[in-house]
Amino acid sequence: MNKKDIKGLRFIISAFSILLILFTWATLSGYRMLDVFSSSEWEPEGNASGTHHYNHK
Amino acid sequence: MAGTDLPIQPLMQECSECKTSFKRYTHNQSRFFGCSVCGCWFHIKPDGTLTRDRKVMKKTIIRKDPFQPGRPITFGEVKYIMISRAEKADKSAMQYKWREYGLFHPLHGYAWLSEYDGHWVLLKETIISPKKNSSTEVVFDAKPFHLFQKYKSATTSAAGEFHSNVLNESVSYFEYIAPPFLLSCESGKSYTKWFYGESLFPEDVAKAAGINKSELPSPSGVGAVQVSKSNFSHRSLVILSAIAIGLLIAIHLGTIANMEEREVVAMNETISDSLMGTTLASPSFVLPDKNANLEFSYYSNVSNNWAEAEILLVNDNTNEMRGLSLGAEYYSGYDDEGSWSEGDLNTNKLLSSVGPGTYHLNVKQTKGGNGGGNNFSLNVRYDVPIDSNFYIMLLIMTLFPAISWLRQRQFEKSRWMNSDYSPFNTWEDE
Repeated sequence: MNKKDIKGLRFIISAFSILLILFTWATLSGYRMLDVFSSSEWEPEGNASGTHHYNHK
Repeated sequence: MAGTDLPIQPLMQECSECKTSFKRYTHNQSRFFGCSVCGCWFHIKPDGTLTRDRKVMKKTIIRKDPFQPGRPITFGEVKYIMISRAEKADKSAMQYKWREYGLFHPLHGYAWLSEYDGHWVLLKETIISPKKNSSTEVVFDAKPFHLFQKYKSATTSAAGEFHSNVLNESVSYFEYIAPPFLLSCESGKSYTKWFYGESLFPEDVAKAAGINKSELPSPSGVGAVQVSKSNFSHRSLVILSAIAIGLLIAIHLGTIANMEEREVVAMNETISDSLMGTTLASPSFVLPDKNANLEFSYYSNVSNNWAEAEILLVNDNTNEMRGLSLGAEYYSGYDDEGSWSEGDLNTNKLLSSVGPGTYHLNVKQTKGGNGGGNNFSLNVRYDVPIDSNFYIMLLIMTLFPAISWLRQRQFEKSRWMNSDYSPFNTWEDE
């Protein structure tokens, strides 16, 4: 294995390590990676205070 | 002696036509001489005098070629001297031309530097003949070599010193490849020689000759024994990818096993039309001391109608809110082709990374016209596995070797495009 191979493989190992760390972090923090592109969440306006018109049984 | 100046002084030779002086490094081993200045071709007599071969017309000398006889060129520890330069062509297709440069060292003997379309190979004669496996494969040095090309060559120009009358002879070649190695079988009227060579990058040749790479012809296409400039081997990448995917699966299964996956909200409500659009509040629930997701599952029994719930997740301590909408729509009917239906009564959505605290939901149900939508159920589960994360990572990790394989395959296809014996022809062109 020459120097060029080692340099290339180091890059690949680094890339895979970053991916695994990212995956572990996302899994442990309950983060869905697809939210980066499309989230079902919207930004609420105002505040949550006020009368609740319905009380759960 | 390797790496030092030549141990034997060259003979001085004068072109009898243009009177230019040259050095003759191989002494009496050379029997023919081409003047690189006037292009005349000579037979060298044993006493060293030149007799011009007038049957041979003056050949075009490419003066811009930096490789002219007399140039030192160092490969490894061996400092060769360039003794000849010949341009050859495929006899059956004269537009395919390549150049061969003869190299000489008194102790290390001869070597040949060959250039075609900017791709370089350094060859040395081998006395060991390869073992023939089939009509298109030979084995040499325990490696299989595949037939790449066979052709007859004609020399179109020559300068420097030569053992034979290269301008008047036709040579047959069989070339076998195992990149980056090349085996070339050269057959003349009364001899057969095998040459073993290895591909060189242009920068290696430029460095060996002590010139700038820009002075060399730019490579075109993929050379017969050119190796990819990729920074790693495909096999290493496949092994690394397999290890990474193994770790990914282990982490995925390990984290799934430790997830709580419990229900924190279960609402099943019926709202009259007059109360439609009002806000319903769920009971409060406590999320423990870590960030995790919430999975919302919504159902409404609509028929040819739609219903939607706007949901606010409210932190009771900080009053911070996060919102999302879930809907159900379902339409059906009959047309010329029979019954049809579209839409879904269920929706699932995920809220990422919800922090610890006490929360409740504010839910506002709305709907279209008649056709249900007064009933809905909403279930919220805490800390569920996110399979999409796993599949995204699996896809990315598989893409690395897949792209590498495709690139390697394209590279090999380009290489074999110059061959009549391509392994890609038989099954790909069908």
